[in-house]
Amino acid sequence: MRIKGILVAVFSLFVLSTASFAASTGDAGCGLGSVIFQKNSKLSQSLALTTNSTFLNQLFGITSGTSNCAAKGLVKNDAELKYYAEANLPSLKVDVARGSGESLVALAQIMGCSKDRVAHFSATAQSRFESLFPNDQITAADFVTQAEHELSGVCQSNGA
Amino acid sequence: MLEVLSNSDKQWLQEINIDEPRLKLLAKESTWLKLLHYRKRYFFSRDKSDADSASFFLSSDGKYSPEKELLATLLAFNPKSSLRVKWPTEGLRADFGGTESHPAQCAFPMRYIYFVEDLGIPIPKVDCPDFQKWIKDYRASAISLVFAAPYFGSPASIFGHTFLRVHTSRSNQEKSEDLLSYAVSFEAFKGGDSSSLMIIKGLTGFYPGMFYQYPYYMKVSNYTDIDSRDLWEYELNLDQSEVKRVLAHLWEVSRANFNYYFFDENCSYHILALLEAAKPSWNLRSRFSIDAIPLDTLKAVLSQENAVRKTVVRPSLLRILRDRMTLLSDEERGQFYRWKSNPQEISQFSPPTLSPHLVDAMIDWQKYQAVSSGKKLDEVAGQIPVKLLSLRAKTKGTSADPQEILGRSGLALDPPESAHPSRKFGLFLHHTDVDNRFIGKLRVAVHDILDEERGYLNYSELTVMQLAGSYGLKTKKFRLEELVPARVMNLRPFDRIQKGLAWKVGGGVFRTENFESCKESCLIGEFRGGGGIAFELIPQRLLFFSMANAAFQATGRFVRSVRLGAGPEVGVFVKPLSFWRIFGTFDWLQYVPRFEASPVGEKTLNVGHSFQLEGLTSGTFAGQSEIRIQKQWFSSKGLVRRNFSVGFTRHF
Repeated sequence: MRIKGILVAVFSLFVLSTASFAASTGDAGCGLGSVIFQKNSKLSQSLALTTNSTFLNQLFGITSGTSNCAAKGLVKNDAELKYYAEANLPSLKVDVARGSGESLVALAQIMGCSKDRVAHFSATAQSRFESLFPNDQITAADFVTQAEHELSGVCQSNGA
Repeated sequence: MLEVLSNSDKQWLQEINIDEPRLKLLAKESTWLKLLHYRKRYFFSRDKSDADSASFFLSSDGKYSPEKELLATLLAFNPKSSLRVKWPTEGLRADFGGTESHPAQCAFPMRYIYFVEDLGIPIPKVDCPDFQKWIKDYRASAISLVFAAPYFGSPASIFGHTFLRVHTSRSNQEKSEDLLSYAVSFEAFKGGDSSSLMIIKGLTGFYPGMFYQYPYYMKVSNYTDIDSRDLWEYELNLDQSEVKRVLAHLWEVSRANFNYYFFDENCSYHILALLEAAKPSWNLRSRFSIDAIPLDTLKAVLSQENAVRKTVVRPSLLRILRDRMTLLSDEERGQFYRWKSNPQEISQFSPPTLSPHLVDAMIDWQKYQAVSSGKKLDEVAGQIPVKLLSLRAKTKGTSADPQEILGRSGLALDPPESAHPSRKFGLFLHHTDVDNRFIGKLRVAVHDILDEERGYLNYSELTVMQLAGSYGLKTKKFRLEELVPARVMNLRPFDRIQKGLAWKVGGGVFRTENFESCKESCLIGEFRGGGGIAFELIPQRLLFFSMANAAFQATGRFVRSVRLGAGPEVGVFVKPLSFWRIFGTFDWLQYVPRFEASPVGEKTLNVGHSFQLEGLTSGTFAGQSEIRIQKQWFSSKGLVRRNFSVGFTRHF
């Protein structure tokens, strides 16, 4: 029974990790993009009893694992922007359009802004919405490239 | 037991002043037992640790003997010991560690802190570069206990969920944005099992559970966006050394699995272990030997002296949308609903004429649709159209901050800890056409529609394990009145934002007199479910609903006394005064198959009143009365039965 459970688990882990790498092209992302953003109430999962989130269950092996992007539960420094963009693209897209919001402020911090530069960063991001999100097919990786291009120097400009 | 040790081991124990009597005493210390996740068992099981991995123990008998584990740990902590411990390299916990092997002190840093700082045992410290680096990289400054509000969309979420948030700092010492801090949560790994298998395995401990860590933004988007549940954060009064203790114990438990049992060894229970490591004076898990309802574990923590520094609530996406809607004029609200039905009309509007609040409301709605779409993360953002967002980017004006508009919608926002206690008992006098009876009722969890709804979902019921027995004054006999393992009801009001179904499902064994073959009464098993619609006419005070139900009934005595019924139901909930609640239902069941002497149908009118009498004692007393009139009719003649009961209930 236990062995079977472990085998199922290890197999799933294997499938998940290979699937996540298979999904990425070129620079391997963190594999979050292929995870299904699934509400608990979907009928097929309606009887799930063991966790509070089927979505997060799929992240096993990617979040706390020794993957490209995380080790011992902590996101690796050089993967921080990638990981964050993959997990937060919907909120980022919305916050950039609004020129405010927690996700945008967190992006500012990741990109090196100190607290007093955040307002400037947010306003600049909003004014550059169309370069950051030219269409609805933008992926997290595209966004990271664009953000680095459009927003990297923003925190440092005008001194501080 | 110390006689069999080697000379060097004996010498080590002498150096640190541990003799056999002291060893035996220390093995019984409550903090040691807590660190081992040891638990007293009842019913057919000996005391043992909740940990189900050999990697959590240094002794092969560690799971059953705290004394042997204590001895093994003390010996292994000898800096001269050649014992090296590795992270598990197979199975589920291989994900956390690497291939490093380290001295025992480095695998169990909280045990080390306990021995040296709490007990004063003079064990010289060994270098632990991996653990030290991990703690340093964490840059933890504080810890919050987080409660995710109950969610009726999934049985796993119906009691809520608790986990921890570790506040962190950036490498430049600046405080991290909350989203960039870390969540620590105990969850079950269920692999690729099908839904039905999940239920059985989740209830019986067949899933390994473990402590996961996530960047907090994962948890926030999961709970507040996808599930649309509020998150309540309670920042705990822990100092830096206590925060370190939590992380030290997290390091230890990250090498182990703990079999997950939905009712007692669940998420909210295990997370308490981390808090008990920080605060040895807090006795949390010992209160939850039978079941651990997340809300109750939250209250247990909050009841500790000076436990909380600050409370913050993170509103769900739908709550934010409802709060934003109050900022719109009537015309703008009309515009919102028109857009909602015809999203392509967006192109007709240009920025200068628009209010940012209107566009923001539309954006929230689109975001809600996107995260509910069941698509891959990669594709979800694409569901929120750039057309709409560009419009916003060009519209002048600042978006309302969700925290500043919190509560404007009037949707109840009571803190979870204000909810009534989980258990309930009641004593009633019950009058039927046949007899008068005393009824005693007990419910393990949690809430019904006549209870004080603060902290619970309005118009809902969540009953787990309700038992009622009675004594007949005429018959002078005891009998079982009802046994309900589970029953859930959610009369969610229909509104234009969340068109929801009102529903209920549940079953149990009930005493009834409506099977012709029953002389006076018999027990029937019934499983009933229904769905329909509910309308709230006065917020919090008046609700109408209508449903279609199906019921399956059987008596054990006669195998062929099985029947299926279906039919409509209408009902009303009204709260004329803050302490007086009335819930009335009228339902009609038509039965098939039709046996000659069996009723073809049954109409039941049920009216219940509750009068909440708070403040009398620390619990909640309620005077509760219930009038129930039941009519059933047979193919040839009608038969009416009437019941009436009145009594007191109390939550505890």
